[in-house]
Amino acid sequence: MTNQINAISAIAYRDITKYIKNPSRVLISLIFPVIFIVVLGGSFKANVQTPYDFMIFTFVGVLGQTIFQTVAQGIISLVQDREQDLTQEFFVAPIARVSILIGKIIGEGFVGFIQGLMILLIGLLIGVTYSFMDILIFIPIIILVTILGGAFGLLIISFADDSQNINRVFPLFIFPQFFLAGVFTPIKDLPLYLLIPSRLVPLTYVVDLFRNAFYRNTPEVKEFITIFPIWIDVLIIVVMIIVFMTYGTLAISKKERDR
Amino acid sequence: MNIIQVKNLVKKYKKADKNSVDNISFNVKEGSFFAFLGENGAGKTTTISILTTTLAKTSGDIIINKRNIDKYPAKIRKDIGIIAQKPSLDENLTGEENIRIHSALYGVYSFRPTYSLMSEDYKQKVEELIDLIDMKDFLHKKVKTYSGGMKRKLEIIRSLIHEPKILFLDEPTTGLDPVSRKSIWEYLNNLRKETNLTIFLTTHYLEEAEQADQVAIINHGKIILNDTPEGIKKTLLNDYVILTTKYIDKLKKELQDKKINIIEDLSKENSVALDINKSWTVQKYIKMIDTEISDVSIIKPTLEEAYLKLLS
Repeated sequence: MTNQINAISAIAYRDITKYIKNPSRVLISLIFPVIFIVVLGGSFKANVQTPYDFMIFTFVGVLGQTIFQTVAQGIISLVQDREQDLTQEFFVAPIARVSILIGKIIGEGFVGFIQGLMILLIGLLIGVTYSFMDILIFIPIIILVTILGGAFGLLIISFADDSQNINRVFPLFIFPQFFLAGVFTPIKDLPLYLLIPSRLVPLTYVVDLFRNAFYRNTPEVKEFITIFPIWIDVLIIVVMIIVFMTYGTLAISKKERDR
Repeated sequence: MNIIQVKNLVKKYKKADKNSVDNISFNVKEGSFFAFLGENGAGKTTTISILTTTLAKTSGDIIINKRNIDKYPAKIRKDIGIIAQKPSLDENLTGEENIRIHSALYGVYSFRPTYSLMSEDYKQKVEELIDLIDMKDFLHKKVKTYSGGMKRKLEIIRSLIHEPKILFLDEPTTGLDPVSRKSIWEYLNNLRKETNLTIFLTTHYLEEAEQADQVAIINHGKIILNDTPEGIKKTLLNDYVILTTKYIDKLKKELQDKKINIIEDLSKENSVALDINKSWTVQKYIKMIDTEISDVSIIKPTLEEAYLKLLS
């Protein structure tokens, strides 16, 4: 057991160090969120009448989406590593496959966590203020979402074989979710053909969870924007984590050896 | 004692129509240097991947260090070190960080986020190993800045940190310059002298296999020869003698008259090559020939010549 924990920390450390040592990556990864919030949110705010600040509405959506996507994308790099034989080192070590995946999720989860904190800082620039209670509530939510992002990443790797394939497939799994999950637009009322996919994608619950937490002190706005009560969001996210991780881990371990 | 025993090993990849490894059997003695020789695609890497537990076999029995590979893959992984064909270092981390991660993966030392927080035992071991390959100044530099030869050396010392019993090297010197290759081999040979390490090497450089205790040649998934380098050469090629003379025409005619066969391929403008075997010794040739000879040299064929003959 100590050995597994040792190994998990080493694997997580690798991803964290690589992220910290590469400031340009950190900055580049903030470009899209800023464009989404300022350009998309800002233009809607100026042109569409809503009973709440539309830029902040977008900001909360982008916060959830960025964390989720960052971690999922980080996990995908496992496939690239595998091809460059970098993780050969991991796979031939006397540790459980699960430990490799857990280490990877913790490492990339940390990256997603920092990314989330930085989006919160961007919020300050567009006029969002946080109370101490806000931070206390946001931190566990961010952690939960990083785990879901990791689990979702595992699920995708278990479907695709090589990195070329996975880089093609990943946007197909992620971009439709932006719109189905209502990152930029309200999705409370939808026609049936959108309602079904919208309620199936994981990002919907991520975004809804953040909005539930963010608008908790303004019930009239919350009522207008959120889809489910907060406990349903949490419950569904936890169930998805368990299902994605179990399936992903089993499928990856099997695929790794049965070539 | 045989540290590796392979019996009737078969591997057929899912999408392939032929077996990549086709019913091979061989043993490797503890502490010996075993070379696995073959062309690209012959099945070398497939075999090494199966032996190192990263690839599932189709059928066959494998015992490594008295343990069955199907039952104890994790324990076997602890007993072996692997240098893969492509470098498996993280180029964005320093050499020391790569070693530190390795030692945590193998449970040798407890992991700490910085070098200074690591145990004294660890630091001592790392310094000792880095001294061996003369790379002290590079220990805390990013692997990106290393040359090809330095990367290989770092990988080798990294793989030794958990003190494996068998070191698998899959074409370790491919793409390296001759100087780096030489220094890596010097290091490996010293290591063998000092420890009882078993080396399992795949290569297509024949001069590397020449130093081995045992060479197995694999072709299209089958082992076609398994012997000492000397044995392989003897099976495939005889030694030969080259006679040099100023009177080449006269000599050739004399040989023809006495019904002695010339090896045409190896004969040159002023010399002839003659096969040496039990009935045709050098002495016998010299006694028979009257033409004046200016030089006699006995040639022992290299493994390379034997190998090329085998594949042709």
